[in-house]
Amino acid sequence: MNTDLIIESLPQLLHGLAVTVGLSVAAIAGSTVIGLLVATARTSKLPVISQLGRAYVEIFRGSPLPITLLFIYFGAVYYLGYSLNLFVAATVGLSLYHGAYVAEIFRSGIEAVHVGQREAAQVLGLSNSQVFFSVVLPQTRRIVMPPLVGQYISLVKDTSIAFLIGTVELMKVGQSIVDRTGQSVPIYLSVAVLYFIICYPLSVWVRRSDRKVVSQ
Amino acid sequence: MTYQWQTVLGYLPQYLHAALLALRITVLAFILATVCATVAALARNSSVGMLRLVAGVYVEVIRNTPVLLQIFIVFFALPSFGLHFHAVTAGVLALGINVGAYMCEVFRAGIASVTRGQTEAAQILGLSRRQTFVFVVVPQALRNVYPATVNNLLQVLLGTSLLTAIAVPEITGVAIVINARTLLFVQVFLMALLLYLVLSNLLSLAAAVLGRVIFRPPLPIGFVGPRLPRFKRPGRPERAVVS
Amino acid sequence: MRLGRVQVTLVATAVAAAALTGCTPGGGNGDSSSGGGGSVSSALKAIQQRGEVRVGDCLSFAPFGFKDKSGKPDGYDVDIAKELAKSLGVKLNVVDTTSANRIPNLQTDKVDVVFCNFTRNGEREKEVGFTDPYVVATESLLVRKSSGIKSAQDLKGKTVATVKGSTNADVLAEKGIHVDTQQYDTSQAAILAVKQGQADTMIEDSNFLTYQAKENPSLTVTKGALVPLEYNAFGVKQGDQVWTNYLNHFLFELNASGQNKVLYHKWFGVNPRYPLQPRY
Repeated sequence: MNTDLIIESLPQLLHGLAVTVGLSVAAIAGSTVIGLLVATARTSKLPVISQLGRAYVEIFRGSPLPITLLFIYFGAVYYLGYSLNLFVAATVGLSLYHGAYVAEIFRSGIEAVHVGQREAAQVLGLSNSQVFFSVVLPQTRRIVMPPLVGQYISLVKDTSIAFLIGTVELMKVGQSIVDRTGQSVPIYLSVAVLYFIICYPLSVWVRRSDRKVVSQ
Repeated sequence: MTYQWQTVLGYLPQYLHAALLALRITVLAFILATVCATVAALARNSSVGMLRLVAGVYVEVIRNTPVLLQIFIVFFALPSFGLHFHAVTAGVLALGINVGAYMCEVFRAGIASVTRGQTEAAQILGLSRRQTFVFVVVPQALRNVYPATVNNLLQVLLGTSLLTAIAVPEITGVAIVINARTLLFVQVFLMALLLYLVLSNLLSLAAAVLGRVIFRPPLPIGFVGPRLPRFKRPGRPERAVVS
Repeated sequence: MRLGRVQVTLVATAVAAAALTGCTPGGGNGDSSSGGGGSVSSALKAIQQRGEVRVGDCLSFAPFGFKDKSGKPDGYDVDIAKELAKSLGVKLNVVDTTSANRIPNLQTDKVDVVFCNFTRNGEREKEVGFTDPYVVATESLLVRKSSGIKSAQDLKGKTVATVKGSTNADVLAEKGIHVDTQQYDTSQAAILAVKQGQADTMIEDSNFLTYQAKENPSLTVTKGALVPLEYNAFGVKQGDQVWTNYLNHFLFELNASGQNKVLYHKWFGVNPRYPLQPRY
């Protein structure tokens, strides 16, 4: 095992890891916002809005992430008039894609909150938006967290797919080192370890909180 | 506008070839995934510590590293150990092993969800542990895991899109090449998108029909509807599974 | 509910398709010739205002373009790009592209000029503009020493690794030799495939292949050219004559001063074999 190569490549790999983490954080924020919006749309009483939300979810869940990324990367210029740099394009693509899954998690969380709660709140005279934001949403937070974090873990792993449009994150850095040296085994191993270090603790957290939620 | 669509539609044969290949890979990888998942689930539930450890490591490592990396490892790194695979084989292997880890957890949850009351009743009736497992637990677990397993199937289908990185001529790869040639990226990638939507809906439908046929009482077709995570409302007993 | 979902999806996609292809300037794909004949905004002006020139190069194509130990771009193409930036008096930004992305990147303004061993031919001239040639090559085959393949005729029924967006394997189709092609994202991936036996050969620029064979002792390059000489040039957005003129002038200086020859020798170890302009 070529440990010298690993040590020598470490600065580059860590730099790639930093980009991956930055991309993940940005996309987590983006997808959560989109997810909330779409979930609200889907649970809305207006059929047009709820169908729009449904179409959004169906399209992004039924198609693979690379297609979304390619669309955003090349399409931005035609529809926005200026080109997006790789980081922004990847963030937008990841947010849109995972936003669909996050929306479904939020939606089922919202629907799991006891209907009686909503009725009680309305009887007490709270307006619809007050009911939603002060009564329903806080209660969904607790049950929604484990699958939500699970989705975020998926997102972190999916940042590696931004490699296909050329974003210089961990996967691409690793691949360029492999290109240069031909030593695929030590480099891929190092990259795998780096991803594992980020994702495993989150997975453990998800399992533990899942158990806590269920046992209550 | 029609000229552009005409040009892209002229590539339809390539697209369809690619779609068929993607379907083939999906089916093969899914079968492999089921095998891996079954073995791993049994291993994790077994009483032999070493089996539990090995299966546990497999599941955790696969689930916490990106699938693209796994595909690269199978195709580019394994040859260093003498294992040379061609692109399609490598794709099937990588996707099968990957989704197998996720399915393993689904299977375990399914097995655990068969209530203890059932196993205890079976044992009171005199069935051995193995008989209990095969005739009581497994059929019920199968019903419980079916929707999640269909999700895994779709996961495999979407995973085939990544195989473009190892030169498998599936839908995304073909789209990139056609885009490089025609530069009509909107139409080119919309076609690809459509194909994926068609394939994923076809697979869901087939799975739903199958579910209706093989389970008694039959799972209604609508069940593979919104792929929502099941939330137990705190304090409420879990609802009985479909009837 | 099942039918409802399929219907919704298809309708939504159809609407999106119509919207995306209909409501854009230029009717869907934007004409590559810069809009509006009146106000000609050349890339040259934009570069000077920005203070930076963005050069697209394939950084997985050693020794033309690759990433060195510290991850910085290096190579023959990159050295020329550095000279270009110097002559423009701006900063250099090397953008990693792939063969499949180089034309889309040009047209969507992500780069100002593309190097990436871009061969001039009539087909491509319809989409992008080219400068004068900066390096000349032929195509050869890269094979494993143990495979015994000596020429294109031995390739019947074998697998050829190429790169998405390159036209290298087309020559075999023209000669009527039937092969199985695999299209990789980068040249480096294709080389790895040949090395590991997943493909039998790779057809590529002879300069590039000779360098790769030097780095990989198990590989060798066949003698004899598959195609007539290829003149590789810089790619620019179609219609930008001002920028093209500047680049041609830059290349003229690069060649007249002998700097091009020096750089070529630095990376390939020999002097350029073929003249940049055919003599007739």
